[in-house]
Amino acid sequence: MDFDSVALDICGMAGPLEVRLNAAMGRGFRQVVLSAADLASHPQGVDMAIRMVRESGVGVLALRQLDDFEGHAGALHEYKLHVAKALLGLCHAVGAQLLVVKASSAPDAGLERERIVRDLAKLSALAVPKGIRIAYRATPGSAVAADLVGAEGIVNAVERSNFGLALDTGDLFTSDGGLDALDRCYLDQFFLVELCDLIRLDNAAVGERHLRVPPGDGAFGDDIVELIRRLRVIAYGGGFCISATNEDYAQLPADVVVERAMASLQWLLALLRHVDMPRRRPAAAIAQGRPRT
Amino acid sequence: MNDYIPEPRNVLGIDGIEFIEFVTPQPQALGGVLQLLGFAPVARHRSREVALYRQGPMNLIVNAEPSGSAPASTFLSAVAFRVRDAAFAMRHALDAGAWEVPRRAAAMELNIPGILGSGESSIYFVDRFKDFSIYDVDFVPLPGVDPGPPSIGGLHYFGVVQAVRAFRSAEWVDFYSQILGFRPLPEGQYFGILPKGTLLESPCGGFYIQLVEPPEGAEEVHWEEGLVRIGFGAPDVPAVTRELQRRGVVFIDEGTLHPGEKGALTQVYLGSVTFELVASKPRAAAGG
Repeated sequence: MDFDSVALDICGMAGPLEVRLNAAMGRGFRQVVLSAADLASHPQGVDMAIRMVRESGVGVLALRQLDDFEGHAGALHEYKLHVAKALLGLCHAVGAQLLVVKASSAPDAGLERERIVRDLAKLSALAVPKGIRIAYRATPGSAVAADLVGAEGIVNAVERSNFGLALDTGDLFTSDGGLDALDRCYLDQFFLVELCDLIRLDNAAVGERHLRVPPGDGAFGDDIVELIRRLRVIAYGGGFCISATNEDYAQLPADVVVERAMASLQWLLALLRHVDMPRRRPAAAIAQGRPRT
Repeated sequence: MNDYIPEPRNVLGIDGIEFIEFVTPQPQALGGVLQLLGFAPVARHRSREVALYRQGPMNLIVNAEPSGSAPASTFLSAVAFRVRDAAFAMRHALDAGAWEVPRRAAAMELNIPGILGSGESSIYFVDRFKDFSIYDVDFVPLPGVDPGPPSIGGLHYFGVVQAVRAFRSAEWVDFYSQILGFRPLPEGQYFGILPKGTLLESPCGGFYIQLVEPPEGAEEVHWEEGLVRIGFGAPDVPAVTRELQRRGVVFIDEGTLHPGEKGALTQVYLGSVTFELVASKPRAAAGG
């Protein structure tokens, strides 16, 4: 992991695409993660949005996202195929390396594993001539792949070179139960690691939920460092992105959010200069290097 | 042909190459190079600037009127496979994840189904090649010209070379395996004088696709994906090389590249076109 390999997810930030892009690039990010809606809903049209991104010189690590694609039959399958092709076309046009695909959570999906694998293999074939790779992400509650282990099982069954996993640390520390989930994975087909920390919120009305914040700003900073250390050990060559927007950040100027993300990245990189960090460093030692808020 | 029952090892019933197509802004110059190589113009399109060249079992189309904007340079734009049932092949390819390309209106009036290949190239499926030829509809034979000129020294289509971006060979192996039933040859098994990359064999055993990534240390080299070269099979490469040299073809003979028993490589023509000879015997009844 180095500075250039880390993108900033600007999907959930406030403001027009231009403002978010300029904020990210102004703070030194050289890659971003975009949503298809960022392009399609641009006031001057999608072609202008694509040209603007291309001409900005920023790299697009990934475009999000394709939802509920696999496991359907008949007209719904054809419809989802049409959506997938359009998203791959956008990826190609804007120069995105990856299309993020969230495991289907539709009620009728997950019933036929063979169909799911066939649909995803078809998607991976569609992506080849466009030069796109598919980053498949578990979806809590999905009957297809509710967690990292389940998603990796699907990836292994699809068995295509351009079809791999997206790991979201927010999901890893909540629905996957933490770093121990990694011990049950092969970890050899990871394409994207989405980094966020979590602050737990207890709300009497809705129960426990978590606020996504940049790495180091929540309760899982040391686990994120440990995750990256393990990925280093297996020579992970995919991309990272800081993906930590929340409802509060969505109403703040993009500059403010990007500044937090950059401080977080610098904190991470400072810690990661020590390649052979011991597993599970004491929290106090981690905290010494944290940026001041 | 609706009762077609596919063979497990050759689901599409691929049986060689029906034609290969160049798109070019310089049809006369390209035609001149092709004639040096032994091709002869045998027909022209009824209404478009498209010519059919032939040599032995090989059909080659020179298309100076592409459907899109005018091409900046000459490039390999299509490979058409002979298949048992083109409609079946197309359905199988689409089910496996291919992109359908617009039905062929530029070079042919006939509805030839096709899918997107690498770069700007297409892969077509043709099932009318025995009693009835696809060229009968669209092309007018050139008067006084032998419609079946013989090949020089048994030249036949051997394969195409495809440039792929770094670390993308495995993805294209998946693509050709999943959609067309090609199989990668064991690492280290090569033909010709350029033993590199990944070699895929067609399910009929008569055609090869060589995937070549940019060489190490060439990160700054502009390397677009696409078909870059035709390989011609020749039973006796040195004899064919001599004959083609006599006709004016120039082969590279310097550095590590020299014409020999295994193969030979021509110089670059028209700024982007090369051809390769590879030691190979023509298949019986194959299309090229």
